[in-house]
Amino acid sequence: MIASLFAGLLFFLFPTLVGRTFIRLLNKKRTLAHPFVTYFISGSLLTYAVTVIVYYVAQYAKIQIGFEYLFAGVIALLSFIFIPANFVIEKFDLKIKQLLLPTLASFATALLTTLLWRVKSPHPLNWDIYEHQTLTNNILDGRFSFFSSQVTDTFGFNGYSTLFHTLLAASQTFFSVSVFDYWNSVSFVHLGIVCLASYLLAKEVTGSRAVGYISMLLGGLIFDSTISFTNLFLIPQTFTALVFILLFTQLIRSLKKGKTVSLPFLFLGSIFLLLNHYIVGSIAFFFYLGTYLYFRFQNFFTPKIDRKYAMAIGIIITSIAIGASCFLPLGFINKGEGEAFVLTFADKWDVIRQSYSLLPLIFFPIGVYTIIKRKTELALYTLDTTLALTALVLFQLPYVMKFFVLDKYFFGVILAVGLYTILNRIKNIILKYIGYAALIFTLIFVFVLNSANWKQILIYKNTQSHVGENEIKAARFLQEEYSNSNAMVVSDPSTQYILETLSGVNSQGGAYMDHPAREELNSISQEVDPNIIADSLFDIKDKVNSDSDTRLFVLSGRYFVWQNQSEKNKQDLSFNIWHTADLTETNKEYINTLIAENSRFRLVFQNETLAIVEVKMPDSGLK
Amino acid sequence: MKKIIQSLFFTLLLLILLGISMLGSISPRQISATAGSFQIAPFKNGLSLFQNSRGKYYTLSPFNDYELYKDGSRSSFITSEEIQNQTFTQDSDKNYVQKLTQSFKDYFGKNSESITFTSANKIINYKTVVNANHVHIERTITFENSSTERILGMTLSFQGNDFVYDTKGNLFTYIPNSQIESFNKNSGVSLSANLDFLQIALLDKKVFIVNPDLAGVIGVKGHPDQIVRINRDAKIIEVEDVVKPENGTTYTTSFDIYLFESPQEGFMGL
Repeated sequence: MIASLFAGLLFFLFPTLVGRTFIRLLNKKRTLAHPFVTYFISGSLLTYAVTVIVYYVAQYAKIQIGFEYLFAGVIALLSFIFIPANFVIEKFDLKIKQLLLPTLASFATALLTTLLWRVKSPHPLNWDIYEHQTLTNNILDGRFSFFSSQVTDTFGFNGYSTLFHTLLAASQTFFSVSVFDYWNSVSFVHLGIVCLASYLLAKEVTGSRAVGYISMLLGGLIFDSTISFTNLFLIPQTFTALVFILLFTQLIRSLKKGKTVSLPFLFLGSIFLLLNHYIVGSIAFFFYLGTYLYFRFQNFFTPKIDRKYAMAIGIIITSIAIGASCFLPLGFINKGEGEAFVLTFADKWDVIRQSYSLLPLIFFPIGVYTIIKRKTELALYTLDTTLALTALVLFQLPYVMKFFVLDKYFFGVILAVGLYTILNRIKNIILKYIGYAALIFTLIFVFVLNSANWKQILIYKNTQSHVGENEIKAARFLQEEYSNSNAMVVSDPSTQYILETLSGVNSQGGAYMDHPAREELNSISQEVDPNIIADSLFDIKDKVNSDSDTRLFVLSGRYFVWQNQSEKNKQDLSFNIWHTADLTETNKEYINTLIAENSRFRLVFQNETLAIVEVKMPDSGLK
Repeated sequence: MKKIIQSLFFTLLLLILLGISMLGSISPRQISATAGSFQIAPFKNGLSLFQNSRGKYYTLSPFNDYELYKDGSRSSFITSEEIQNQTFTQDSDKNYVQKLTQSFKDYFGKNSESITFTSANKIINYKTVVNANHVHIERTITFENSSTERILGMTLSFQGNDFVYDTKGNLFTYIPNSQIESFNKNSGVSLSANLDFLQIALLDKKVFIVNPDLAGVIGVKGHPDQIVRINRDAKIIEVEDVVKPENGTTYTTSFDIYLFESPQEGFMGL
């Protein structure tokens, strides 16, 4: 457990320490605002660049050493050279005065949020950890590529490079981690940094620590629980947003000090954002570069543009464009999972209400009014950015809600200003405390109801989780017996998704099982001949990894619930059986009949939740 | 003084605005208490035991519960006319604010559920208290005016394809032989069909229900002074006893349900 928790911390710490040495070697004199973000980015990019180069050189030169050993060598080399050098090159200046209290408060907020979130939920609730850990497992097993879809078929398309997974793999290289402990650890640190980033952004923009702390509370306790998942889930889009906010804050702080971020650093930051998520990263890059250019050439813009007119014209054009977006013939991009993510205005309002309740309706306008009235350039610019990002989210296009992952931080600043506008008028210290206590209680209330809503479909026995103990035991069995074989798990999308990650035994696409495989699995439900069922299992093939002569047919309670769904649901990539289900008498009878009637089926594991049946290829060899 | 008044005003304003903000929260569709692998929640017709996404309900309902008269006739607590004319109310539809505050409390643990039906001349309340896999069910009925002993029955509905059996392995529902054999093989218990009766009272007051499409076993246990009867015709388990009124008009009855993982565990545990 300790190793897993430490590995989780290393995800952030290792690149930061490597990057610090790297930056200090290249750039001894220059002082940076919030340097830790630059250290982290440069360390990450250095690690990734060396990994990619080593991989492709080894491929080209046909080096006969497994990539897993080369990767471990890269991480070991970077660790031994760059980490100790930190203590030699320059003394650590932790800026304790400035950052100690906000950091402690951020992690206290993260702890409160985590404790509330984990009520009745012993395991991480981030469904995406399974696919990211599967890719990480593949890297650690020696399968690597710049493109995620070439490493594992769990990734049907390339939405980002494998930078994120290389960092995950780097932190797990020398530790035998428990998947859940590791993700609990890394997610907690991520949440703490999200709270800190919320504080830093608000503080830099408004100059007020109090607004910073309110923004921190909003950053932790407001969970955007649909599509964007900014604070509680560490995934490439949320990671991109976090780094973007830290870069944005760094830029603002540098400008306030009368300096600019140098072009190489700007370039490194931009590359990181783009590699980490092509779509969210592009938008983040646009705003990052835009902010840099705006303030760099502010003297050129300011006298020529009247902000009021620019804003009015912007709002009119954007409103027309948002309205028109409903009528654009964009059906061709509304495919697959995307179809499930086209939300109407009413849906979006429900999403906001679920996450924030009515806080934005009341305090956002007060925040906007205060900022406009005060006429501070940075705050006005932040307001413009918030409105632009919010407009982007309002477009009737698939996936645009993902951009809320960037917007949430700015939205939080405006809300925090709105809340502070009233809190600041309370001069009596006791009443002020009552005001802050009421705010914290309100946020806890909203968060708890949001969590209760989110978790209500995950009930299994006395827990709310995606995974049950019997599935964990089954995964452990698979890991011990089959992880070194080329056997492939076949089951419903959710079961194989979870088992592949926890056991390391391959499956066809995990939860993103492709359509032909879904059709094949569906056909099994109507079939009674065990030989045809066995043949069908071998018609389900992994297109990335080599085929095997053994299928592990996992007949879980979920599998049978999935088989009872409509054809439409079975083909829908966004539909899953989200909670564990135990086997029923009918299920057990089916399993008994299957194994009794054919020698190709051999029961190797069974508990109340699932049975694992080993199925062998007929003597004729691979199909 | 001016400062204090200003502070008070803005504190009050903030509290009101935050209060209004909270009212916009969306409460979960349903928060249920969990017992073993089952959940319990109130529905329009009573309190039901069920399993997530499997669509089968085992219900305690005043539509099925009954009073037995001395002449042998019986009537349900809410009659078909009352159902047809909707001349009764039930409180599972709480108002919005109650729902929000209840949902907030339930998030941290819910070990009880209740529902109250009010008809023209009686108030019927069902309350369950859950402790791990044990559910204690208590029903109180308040009649408008009454002071005599009454014979009252509580019921739990079951499904047509359920295995309903006693502790001796007598199976009282019609199940094809092949399924019984398979059940015996899978579960390690030995059931044999006993279809001589449409209704049968069980001496040891214990009965098991297994649905082939649900996981787990429902065990019903009555008190020694109660009659526990399987009514195959109406597909209900009846728990009947003679009840004396408390405070002249209120009658309280209770029985227990245990939820087991397997039939074998049921035999050992009930």
